[in-house]
Amino acid sequence: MSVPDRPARAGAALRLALIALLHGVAGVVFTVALAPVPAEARRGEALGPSVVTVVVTAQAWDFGQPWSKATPGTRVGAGVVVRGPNGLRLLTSAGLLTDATLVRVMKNGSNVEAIAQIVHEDREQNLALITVAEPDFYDDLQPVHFVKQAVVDGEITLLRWRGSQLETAVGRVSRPTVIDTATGVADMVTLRVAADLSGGGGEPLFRRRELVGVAVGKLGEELSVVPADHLRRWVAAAETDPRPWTGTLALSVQSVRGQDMVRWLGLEEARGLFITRVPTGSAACGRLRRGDVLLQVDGLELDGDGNVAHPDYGRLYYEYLVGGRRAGERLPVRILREGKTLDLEIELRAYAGAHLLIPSDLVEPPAFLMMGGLVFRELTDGTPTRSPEMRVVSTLSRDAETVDRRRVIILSSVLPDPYNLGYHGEADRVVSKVNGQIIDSIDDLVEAFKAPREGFHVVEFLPNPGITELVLDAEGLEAATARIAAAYGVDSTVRLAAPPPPLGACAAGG
Amino acid sequence: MSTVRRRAALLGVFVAAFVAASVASFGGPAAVAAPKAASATSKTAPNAEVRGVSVLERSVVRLTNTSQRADWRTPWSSGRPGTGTGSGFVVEGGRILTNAHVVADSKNLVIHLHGDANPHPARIVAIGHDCDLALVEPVEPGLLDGLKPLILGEQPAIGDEVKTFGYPVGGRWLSSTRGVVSRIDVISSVHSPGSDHLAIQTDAAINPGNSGGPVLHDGRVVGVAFQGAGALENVGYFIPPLIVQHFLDDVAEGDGYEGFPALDVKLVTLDAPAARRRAGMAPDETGVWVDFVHPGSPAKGVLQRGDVLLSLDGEALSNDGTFAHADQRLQLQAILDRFHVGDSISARVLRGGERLSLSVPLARTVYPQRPYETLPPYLIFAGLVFVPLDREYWATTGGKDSAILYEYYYRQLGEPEAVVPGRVMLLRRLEHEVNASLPYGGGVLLDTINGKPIHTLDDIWPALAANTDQHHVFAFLHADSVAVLDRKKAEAAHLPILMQYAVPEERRR
Repeated sequence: MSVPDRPARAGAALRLALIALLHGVAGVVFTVALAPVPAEARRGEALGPSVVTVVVTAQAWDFGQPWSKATPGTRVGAGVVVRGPNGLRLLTSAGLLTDATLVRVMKNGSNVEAIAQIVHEDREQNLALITVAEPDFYDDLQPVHFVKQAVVDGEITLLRWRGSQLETAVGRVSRPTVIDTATGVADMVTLRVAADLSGGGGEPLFRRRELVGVAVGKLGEELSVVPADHLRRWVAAAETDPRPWTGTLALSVQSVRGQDMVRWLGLEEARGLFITRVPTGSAACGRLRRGDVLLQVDGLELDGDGNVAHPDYGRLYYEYLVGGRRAGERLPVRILREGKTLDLEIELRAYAGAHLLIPSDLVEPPAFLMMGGLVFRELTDGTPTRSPEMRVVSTLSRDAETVDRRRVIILSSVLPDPYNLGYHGEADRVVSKVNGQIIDSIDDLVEAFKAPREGFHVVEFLPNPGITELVLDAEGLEAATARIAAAYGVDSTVRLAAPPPPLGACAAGG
Repeated sequence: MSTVRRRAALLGVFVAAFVAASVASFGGPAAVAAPKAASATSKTAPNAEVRGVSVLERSVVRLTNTSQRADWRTPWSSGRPGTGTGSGFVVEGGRILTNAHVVADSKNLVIHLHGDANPHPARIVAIGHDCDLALVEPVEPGLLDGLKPLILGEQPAIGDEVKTFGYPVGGRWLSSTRGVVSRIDVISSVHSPGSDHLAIQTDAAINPGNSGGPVLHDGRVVGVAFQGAGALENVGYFIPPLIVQHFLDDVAEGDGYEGFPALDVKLVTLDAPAARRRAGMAPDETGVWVDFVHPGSPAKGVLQRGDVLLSLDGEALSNDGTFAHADQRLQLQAILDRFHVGDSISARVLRGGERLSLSVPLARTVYPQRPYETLPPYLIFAGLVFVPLDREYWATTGGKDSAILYEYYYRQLGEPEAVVPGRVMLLRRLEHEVNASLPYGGGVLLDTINGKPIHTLDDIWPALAANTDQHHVFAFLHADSVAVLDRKKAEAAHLPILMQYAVPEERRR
């Protein structure tokens, strides 16, 4: 997943685009610069009953005041009617539904809104199924047909409703590419589509009345489109297959480049990926190790940048082979280890944003604790890292990732009160211990604050240029917490997080 | 609650001198103002001050310095020379006092006397980068004979009227501005970041070129103008008599300039009543908390983490790390400014319920200071430019890289017992076919070469020389990739790369 010299991380850009999307102001409207409508787009009329408008009222959590939510806003996107194993559904992007408080759907150019329910939301793949419970809702809708032949270039048509009219815009497939999924961990195949339009909110794209893909994000000026073959598989399994997606092997790898590297590895030519790190929790942990050269995955040869031949899309980064599978599947790999070629099978397991020390899970409400005016919370990928030590911890989090250390807890801010006098300006410090107990979760904090020492609560921070210990009187903590909560309108003083998913043991032997 | 020992943080402060000498270049007959004989110098004020050009003003000179400072991004080259101007004034002993930054990295120094169109070569006698002061003297003996040395006065009080003299930009001849003492505080030096000393703020205009000029009150020198604050209006700073005298005494002692002492102890405030109670302080006691003692500091073994520092040199410290001075409070660095390197300072400390009287030896800081008059060290092998991760090289990275920031700053805080070994950084790559396919072009820290740990440039040659394998293997810290070079090809390319990139030597210590 991390080739150091791979071009700009598409995932990061996508995440940014998503964040921009998620935090968009009320009434964001996706505008389309109308291109001359090609003849084929006119057939879009027939597709009208397959396309719906999705209006989402969303309200994100306020990470600065994690007990409350930020100002609500409205996003408008699109959905497309598909037939799943449990009947007709509306397929859209999961990003559109982030922090949704209400989802409404409009169809066939009508302004009548139907209330929709979320059936399945997959943030890793950035896809979601929604539906409307009214019995006759689908009567005037038509499920789409997925394109059978992979589309790798040429023009495709984006369709969506604007008021009573169907709106079309032309996009051009620039190339297929492998990008990080929305949580920045797994890799998936997407089509990059150049189009002079805003979008990425679940709009369907068609060629000759068949669905080519669904736009789930924007990368620079281009749309990021999940292609039909993946959509078909995803829709077929979304409601019926509970197995988590594998995500990634999470390997750190290095391209094999230059004659010196090739000879040093004992290869004859530049091919394969030099494995530099196998993290705890990866399915490959204990099977692959630093120094191995990954030569083949699923029978496909890796070139020196880790690309393999995709049957439809040409050469693509090998991780798409991993990201699109289910936990429990076995993945054959061939490696070079100490001059010998070895064939191994790796049993895949889930590895998602929540597995990381600093989780890239953008949707769960932030876990926090307010105690005596001190506001603690988990350091997450979406947290602005304002203090240098937070940046250091973020950067070095991979080095710190172990089975024992799963989360980073920070003192986010202090709500000033006479009780916490002397600490009113403290913010963005990384917590190491409270009352001598190591802190790895909000749960740990709650427990640690139950056991003051000699009449004091002592919060210890990681080394930093400021204070490394913060002392509160044990007596009066509860009263102060209640008083501060009332004064600052903190209606709940704690929210626990779901425990991080287990990292899983490393396979023995290797 | 904030750190007492702040790191350089004065944003937007500009160094007041050192402007391109655009005004110094025109020739032609200068309108030399005939030095008027100062009318009967007052008996009470030794530096008589009258309207027009006085005896005193004639003792203020202009300095033109041609400096050459290396660029740490291309450490093998000596850097581009540049010329700047500043001010200075005659003091006892036929010398001129000015700012260190006016004469730093000097290759050629010239004095211009008031009303004298001829430049006179000069040389540096002593330079104190930590306090931004320097003494220079003319090469020509007796040049300053007719000029009256200015006498150092007492530290002025807030509100006192002061006058500056110097040669700021905007003209060629002497300029004077007037203002009051606005504030007295410990501030960070622009010339030597991290070196904080007492300074005086004034609203008298202090502009580029004023640096090194005297600030007068009641006919005596009460300071040396040294820097302004770029974003602020009517804010200039001058170096007070305490610091000037410290510098002059240090130089007069001989054996070279030693500089100001430091504790090298990280102290944090005890603003929180609960923290004071936990520390065992009596209700009427005040002080600051010892958070970290640098293992290389002479205070190591005397002070320890968890001590409460109650007083220094008899001055009671308050919970925010200040002490009473006249009718105001000053940061405790101002206490250290009274001492010299090698002195000990008396301290009262609360430790484990006991109140101890300690004597803390003082030395120069062990923290790296901005280097002057030196060329950067480096070592180049096969086009890979390796440098120590020191203050200046850290600065070339922009301070943004968190892994480098950790190694440069945070790691030592996390290992309070041991002096943390240094790190070597791959600064850049002089690209050549032998190294072109390496995964890094620079900005990464070396971990090992051929499996041998690398902490200093001295570790590099042995690690390379001991290797008889076909390849040299470089591994990096907080970065997983390795770099592999064919040993014989790399060695063969080593000299041609140096020649191609015009690098005069493969190593500078």
